[in-house]
Amino acid sequence: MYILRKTVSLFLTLFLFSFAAFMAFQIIPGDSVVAMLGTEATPEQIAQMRSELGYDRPLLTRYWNWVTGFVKGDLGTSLGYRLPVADILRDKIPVTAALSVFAFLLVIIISFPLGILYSKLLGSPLNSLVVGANQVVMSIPPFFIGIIFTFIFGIGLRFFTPGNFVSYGQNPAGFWTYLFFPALAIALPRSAQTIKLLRSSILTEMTKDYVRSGTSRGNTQNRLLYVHVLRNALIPVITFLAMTFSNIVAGSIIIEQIFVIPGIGRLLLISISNRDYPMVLTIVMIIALVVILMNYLADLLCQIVDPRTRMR
Amino acid sequence: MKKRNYNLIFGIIITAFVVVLLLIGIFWTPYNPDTMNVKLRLTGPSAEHLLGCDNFGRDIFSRVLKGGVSTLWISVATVLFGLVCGIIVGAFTGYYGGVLDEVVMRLNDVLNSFPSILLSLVFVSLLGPGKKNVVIALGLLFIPSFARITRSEFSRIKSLDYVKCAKLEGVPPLRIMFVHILPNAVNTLLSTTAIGFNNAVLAEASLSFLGIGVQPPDPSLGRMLAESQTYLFSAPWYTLSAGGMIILLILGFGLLSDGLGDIE
Repeated sequence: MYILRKTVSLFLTLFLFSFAAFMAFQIIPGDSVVAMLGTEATPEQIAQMRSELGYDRPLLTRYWNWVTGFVKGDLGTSLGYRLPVADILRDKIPVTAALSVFAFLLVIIISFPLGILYSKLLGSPLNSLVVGANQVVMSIPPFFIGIIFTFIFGIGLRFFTPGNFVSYGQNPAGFWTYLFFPALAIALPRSAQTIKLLRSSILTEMTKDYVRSGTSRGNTQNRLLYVHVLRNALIPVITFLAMTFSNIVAGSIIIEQIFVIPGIGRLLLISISNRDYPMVLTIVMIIALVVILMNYLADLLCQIVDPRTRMR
Repeated sequence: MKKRNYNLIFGIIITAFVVVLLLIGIFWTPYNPDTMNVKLRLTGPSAEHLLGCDNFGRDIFSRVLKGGVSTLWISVATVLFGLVCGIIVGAFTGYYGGVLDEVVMRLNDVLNSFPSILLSLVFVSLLGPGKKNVVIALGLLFIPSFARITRSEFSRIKSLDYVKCAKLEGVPPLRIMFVHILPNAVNTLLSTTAIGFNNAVLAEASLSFLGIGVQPPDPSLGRMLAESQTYLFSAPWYTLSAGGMIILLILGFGLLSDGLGDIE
């Protein structure tokens, strides 16, 4: 029942968002056909181009064609490149996907051990230092970290050459090395946020009655933490991590720009400045799809970890 | 012993420091931020130029102040826009409940789950770049978070006895909402407002960094950061000053929000 309700709401959300996005790009002020043909195009040329691109058909028909095309993988034609959008995206999506997943794994690798460790520091003099440092890291924008990383590790220590992207086909090891620093730049502030949430979630959970009962039965603090508390403390973190993944994908738009990574984020920015709306619409829709699916997965995961949510 | 609210203390100190600095920056900067001086091109920090000079020999400290003021204005406008609309939406949905509440909150959830940078990129690409459009785009995006908090406060408070009394006495609904309930929701809203500033500063800086936010000649911290990238090697203080101001703003508002949230 819970899954059914969530699935229905998933499709409803997808429909609403795709419809809103599609409509928004139809009523934009600048006409992309004019942008494409130049200002000296005759009205006949413009009319011909519009009918070639199917812009003269009714809105709902076009929406329907676009959606069915999207599902089949036919994403329309880019106005800027005059190529099928799908062809252009084919080698960009894996790059952004690799970067996002890499960053997400880094967030988990960094934040889980540290979040648990920090929760044990409560009451020790190190506590305020650690909490303060965490707050500072949280406040540094990823693009600033990116610039600093380029400076220190790229220009200074020469771990990678800024701007000289290594594709996976050329050299897999070089590809991951190149992606490491951008991924870390995205991951650091996000990790700090996750650490903060995990720490406070564990500490809140630790004050509950079942923990006191557990202690009185002679359980060690560690056993209580890993067997009982962590499971409950992770529930808010799961939802947060789903949002984090969405934010990482969106955040890669900026990071790709700094590290000159040929992913969909860079393509999105180029397409925006070219007024290449079919391209912008597709990329936005792809990112939205990831966001909506991640939230759906998080809801399902939460329900597995915490059966109580089924009742709501 | 009562535990001190360090978040609030540091939040107030940092935010007050930055805001006072920027308020001074509105009326007075050590140098004219736009005066170029080739002789001073990319010179390091000194007694005359606290944070050094940029690639045109302009005083970076003055420019950081001017950029910070611009970022702060945009954030204030954005947050006010989101706050006012959010309070109105949240007040009505929370007070009346029902189907409207259900629909609006579902919509809120969807909007809330989207990364603000993505949506603001879409908005700005539709509306075109510029200060005003950035405010509109970000302001619209901030409505859901304010509406959600306001709604939950209103639906909690509306069942309290004093509200019931007011209803029985025949006080009009609008007066109950905004004169009787709203002042009691202010505490919670303050914390959300602080985090709103935090997000606004970050979003504005990101957009301007990408070149689609604030356009020249309007100054912006994000764009300074983007421009300074080229001179990172010869003038690291340029990047550090612009970035440092952004970090201070975000850090201050973040701590302030946590601190305000801890008051109960």
